[in-house]
Amino acid sequence: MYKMYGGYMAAKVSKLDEQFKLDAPREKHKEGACSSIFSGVAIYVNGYTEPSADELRRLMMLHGGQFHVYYSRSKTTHIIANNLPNSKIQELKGEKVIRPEWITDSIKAGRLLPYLQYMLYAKQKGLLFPGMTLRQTSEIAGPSHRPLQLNARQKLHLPQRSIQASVLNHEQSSSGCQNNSFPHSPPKQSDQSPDLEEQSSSLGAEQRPKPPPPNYHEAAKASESHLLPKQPQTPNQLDKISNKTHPSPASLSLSYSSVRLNGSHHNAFSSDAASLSTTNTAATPDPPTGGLISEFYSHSRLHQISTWRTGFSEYVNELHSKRKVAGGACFAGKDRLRKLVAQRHVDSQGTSAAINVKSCILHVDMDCFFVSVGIRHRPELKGKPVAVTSNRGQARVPVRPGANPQVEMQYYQRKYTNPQPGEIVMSDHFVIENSDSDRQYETASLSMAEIASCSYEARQAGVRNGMFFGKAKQLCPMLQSVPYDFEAYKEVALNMYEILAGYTHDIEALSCDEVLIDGSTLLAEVGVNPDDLAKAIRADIREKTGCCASVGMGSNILLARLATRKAKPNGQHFLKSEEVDDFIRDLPVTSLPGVGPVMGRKLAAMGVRSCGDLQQVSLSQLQKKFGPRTGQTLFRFCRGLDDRPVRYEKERKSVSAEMNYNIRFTKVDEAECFLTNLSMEVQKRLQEAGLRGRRVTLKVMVRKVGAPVEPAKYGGHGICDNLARTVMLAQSTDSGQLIATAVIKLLHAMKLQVQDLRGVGIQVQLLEGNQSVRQDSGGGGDVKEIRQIGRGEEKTSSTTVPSASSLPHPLSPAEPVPGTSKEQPAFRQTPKHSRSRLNLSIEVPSPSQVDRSVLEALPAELREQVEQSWTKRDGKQNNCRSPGTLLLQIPNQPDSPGIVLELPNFSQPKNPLLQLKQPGVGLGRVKRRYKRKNAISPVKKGASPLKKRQMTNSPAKTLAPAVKAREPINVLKTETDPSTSSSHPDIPESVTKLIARPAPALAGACDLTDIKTLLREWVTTITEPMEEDILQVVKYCTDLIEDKDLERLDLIIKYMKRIMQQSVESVWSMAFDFILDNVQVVVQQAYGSTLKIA
Amino acid sequence: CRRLTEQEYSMVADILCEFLEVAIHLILYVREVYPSGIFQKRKKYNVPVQMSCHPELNQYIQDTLHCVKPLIEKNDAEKVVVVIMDKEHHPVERFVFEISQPPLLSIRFSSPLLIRNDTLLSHVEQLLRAFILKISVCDAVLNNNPPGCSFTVLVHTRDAATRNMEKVQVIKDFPWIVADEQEVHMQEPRLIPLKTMTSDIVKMQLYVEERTQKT
Repeated sequence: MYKMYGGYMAAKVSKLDEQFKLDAPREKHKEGACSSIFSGVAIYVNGYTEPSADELRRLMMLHGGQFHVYYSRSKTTHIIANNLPNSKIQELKGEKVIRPEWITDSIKAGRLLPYLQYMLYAKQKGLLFPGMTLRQTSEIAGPSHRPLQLNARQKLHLPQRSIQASVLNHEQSSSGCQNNSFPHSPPKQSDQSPDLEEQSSSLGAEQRPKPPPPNYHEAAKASESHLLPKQPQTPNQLDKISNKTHPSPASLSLSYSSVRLNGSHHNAFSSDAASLSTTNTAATPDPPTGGLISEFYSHSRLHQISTWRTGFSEYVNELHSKRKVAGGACFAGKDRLRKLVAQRHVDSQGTSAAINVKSCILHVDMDCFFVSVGIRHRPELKGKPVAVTSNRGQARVPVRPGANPQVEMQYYQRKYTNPQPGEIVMSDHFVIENSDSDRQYETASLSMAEIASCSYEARQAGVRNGMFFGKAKQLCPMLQSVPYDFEAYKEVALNMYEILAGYTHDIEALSCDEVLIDGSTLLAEVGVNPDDLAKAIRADIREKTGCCASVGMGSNILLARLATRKAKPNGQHFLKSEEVDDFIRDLPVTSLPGVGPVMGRKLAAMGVRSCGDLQQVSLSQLQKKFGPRTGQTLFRFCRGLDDRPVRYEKERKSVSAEMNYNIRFTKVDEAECFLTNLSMEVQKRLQEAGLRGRRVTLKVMVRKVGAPVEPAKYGGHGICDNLARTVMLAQSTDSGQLIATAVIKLLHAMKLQVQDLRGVGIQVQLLEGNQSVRQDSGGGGDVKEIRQIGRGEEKTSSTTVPSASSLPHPLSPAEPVPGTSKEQPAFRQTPKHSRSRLNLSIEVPSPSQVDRSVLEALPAELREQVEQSWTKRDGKQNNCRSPGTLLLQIPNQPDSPGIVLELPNFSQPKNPLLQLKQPGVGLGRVKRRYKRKNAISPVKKGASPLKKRQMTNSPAKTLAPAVKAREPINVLKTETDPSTSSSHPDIPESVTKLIARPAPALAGACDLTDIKTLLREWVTTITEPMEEDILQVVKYCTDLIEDKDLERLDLIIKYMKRIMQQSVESVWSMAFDFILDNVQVVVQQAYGSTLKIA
Repeated sequence: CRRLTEQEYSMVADILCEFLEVAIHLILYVREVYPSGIFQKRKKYNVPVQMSCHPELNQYIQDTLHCVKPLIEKNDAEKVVVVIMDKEHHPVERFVFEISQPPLLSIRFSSPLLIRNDTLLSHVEQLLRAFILKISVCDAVLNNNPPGCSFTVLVHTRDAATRNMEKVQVIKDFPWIVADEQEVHMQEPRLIPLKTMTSDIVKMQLYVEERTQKT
């Protein structure tokens, strides 16, 4: 099965190998300790292991082995696994499946131990014993044979260093290659660490049949502490060590703050960026938690690039705070500009006068950044069509089994031609005629590696960014591909930012190669015109980075960006205000920022193609179509209006982590585990940003019904439905655990087949600053400023200390740093506290009687919810509505009855809501309730003896005279009614009315004072509200809305708010939040607005 | 269930229009759409109310309600909305009178004469009084309006009532026009329920929709 992956996989595997080879020397350089115990050994890690696959990979790097991400029967020598499902055992019959301890123990022993004792399955061992012994002998024959078994490639590319080199030589990476031919022998290796030698010798001597459980961490720590003094302690190194003992998130923020201490902001940034880039190894979290996801993110370097923006924003923020402190910074570029101007003044007096630029925004954009960085040292590629892509050369790959690229192509084509993809009946299109197989192969076999960036020459040939390489190659056979070079990107980007910071600090980082500059003050100050400034900037960038940048200028951000389009490539353009109208009229709408393909299609459907067309559309029409805000933006943009300021400080609205690559779960546990890991990733990001969020959204991509099981792109998600569920937490959090519990519940509520999951994302919104961190650093800043003015500079460093120490200390995680002793307990307590509340909020829906998926969706943010298509999905249930289900219908379909909430009655036996009303309830009401009681959930009725008692009691109670204060209106009605003739002669007339159209009632009570009493009883006597009771209240509120009695709803909500939020039990305020959220959803649907809650 | 007779509907319309007139005046006073100088204190439903003594304004309100009346008579008016708009004619506040049929029109009114029962009328009056009182204190729950506001009256009709409206002009040169999107659409409205009443002849609730950002 594996072999059938064919060419694509071969390419991928060799690529991964290459990456491994590239990483190996770096890793060794960092670690300092290495050997070649495992030379010739190529492992493949199957499933979860202890230590993690990531760790094993690192160990293999260090000790001369190979690590295969994909199993290859011919090349992989050992499979490492902690446990395997039965099916896999069958499949791997005859292969060596070995426990990971083999590796760690071998390292400890300093030589390759026989793997026989470490075989995962004794059965397997027994079966294959004869064959094994043979192999085993060769295995334990000793390292001296190793070099012979190395194939040529390994020799060339896997530098193996002698121990002497590792200890003494700090520039191993170069020397390592030369040492290839050194004979490796165990004794030498153990030289490097006496501790290790002791362990290994004892182990080796005893030759226990089963080695003790490996104390890997100890060993690692020992070796590290041993090596530390010999190594320069770079921040990376620190990170690494702290990571061994620490959950990773802390380390990044730590390195950041610790560097901040020395006051050099440039350093602060670069080291931060460095730590970002080294997450490969540095941010490897504890094996049980992180593994997969962290690995994904650390290996997905494109992801890293996208995170750089935050880094650069941070850099700009730093500059600003620095300037505040220092009062003024040196602007190298600015000074140069000044000189230039002065020069010109001398040359010709008065020419540069009369520059009257009110506001000028510069948009600096590097010209096809990835390409120009990629070829800056390869002049031979200049002027040729070049694309940056992960694919190297081949444009065709064979099709994998299970994949059906044809279908996907069709789907995407449909999607783009048909504005409403939702209407496509997928199953129709998945019938494939195999007769057409030739052509099918044509398209299917093209490489699906995406082009990240391509040069202008390639663009002329029709190649576009994001295009699949295979297709691009068809369009432009001359197309050359250049690999990613992430280090270089970072270097160039950083360079560019430095250059720009030399001019002004009014910078907004858009991405690693795109910057907005508010040049207004700079221009006024220096007295230079925008064109000269742009020229200077471009010359600077060109000189220092070797890459070209284009600069667009305009009076606002929009115009600057549009001008850049005209400036490209390698040019500059100033869009003067008098030219704007003519310029913008002919632009296609899709050139406006924010108008992507989707909106472009929508606009095209309206007959709008150019901005001129768009100008003809009225504001109200746009707002109707695209919503108030987007409509307004479009309205303004197409007229060249844009009042967004250049923001050097960006506030994050949400923190999220998503993965839609290689998501294939087989069991629910796996999905849960994955969600937990992803939550940890979110936690990491939240903590990095110093934020906490309250609203957690789980987004999933689910294979569309009828879509092929395997998508065309390897590991890709294929054709999917996108679903999302949201939950509000009791309080904002940055705890991955809490987030994980929440999202796992959401996932369960969605009732999906985990096998069909293709992408998972967690988003946290409603962010607020992490108070413990924020306040502290903010306070520190203030103090800093004050002292700065008061006393002078020597105080700066001391005042920044509190902010730094508020973060967990790297080297002693167990004991809090004295300064933080107050904060830490609080910090620990919060998650615990909120956890208990959280459980409640999510468990609110009754698992037995309520359709959870619907209910979970209820508290979601209104808009998001309306967007969801779950009504469609749940549509079938409309017909077979049972009393126990809760249904909320968004009135999309004209014939839908609106909001229907049907809920079970209270189930809690001694609930005041039930009991309170009993003496006073009228006959009809009791009857009604009785009927309902009988109707629903007979199982439950039987289960609860108390309820049974109630059942038998209640009829008796109806005999009691209904003495109850009625509303005045009721009294009036009975008075004014002369006749008792009715359809139900034996029942009092007021009851008939109720039957005709029942007034909203809560547990039988419909009078306001009664309901208030009821609610008060409920809140005061019960410590934890039953979910069904909460739902009952929600239902009552919904009834009120339906009955158009908002006044009462308002009163009741206000009353509940008062009593529930006053309650000592925090669960009550949670319950109130839940009720309110639900009510607001319904109000929103009925009235288009939400209740104002004072 | 029996439907209200035409006669009864016309009476309901009378009662409601009378009430709406009082309510509109009061809203304009309370929300300071016009200077308080043009208002006089009067007594209605046994409570003090404010009425404008500006003849043109009064005429406008009267004419408007005169045109609303036939709609209510036919049970075609779903909502009567007093919209307060800012200088740019964007609504900042909407006082929505949502009118619906009484829910429980069962056996009780076998005789149409019954509706003239004084007890019933005084009861309705009580309920309307409560509305008036609510309106006069509604400024407590609303944010202040920006200066220079104006007002307009919108009617949300049921179904195809608009077609008939175009045919029949109740008052010459005082036609209904279809409201602009701009006049109807409000950014981020917040809903403040004021009063709900359910009588045997009419069910009505009043709520305010307020723009979150008024300035």
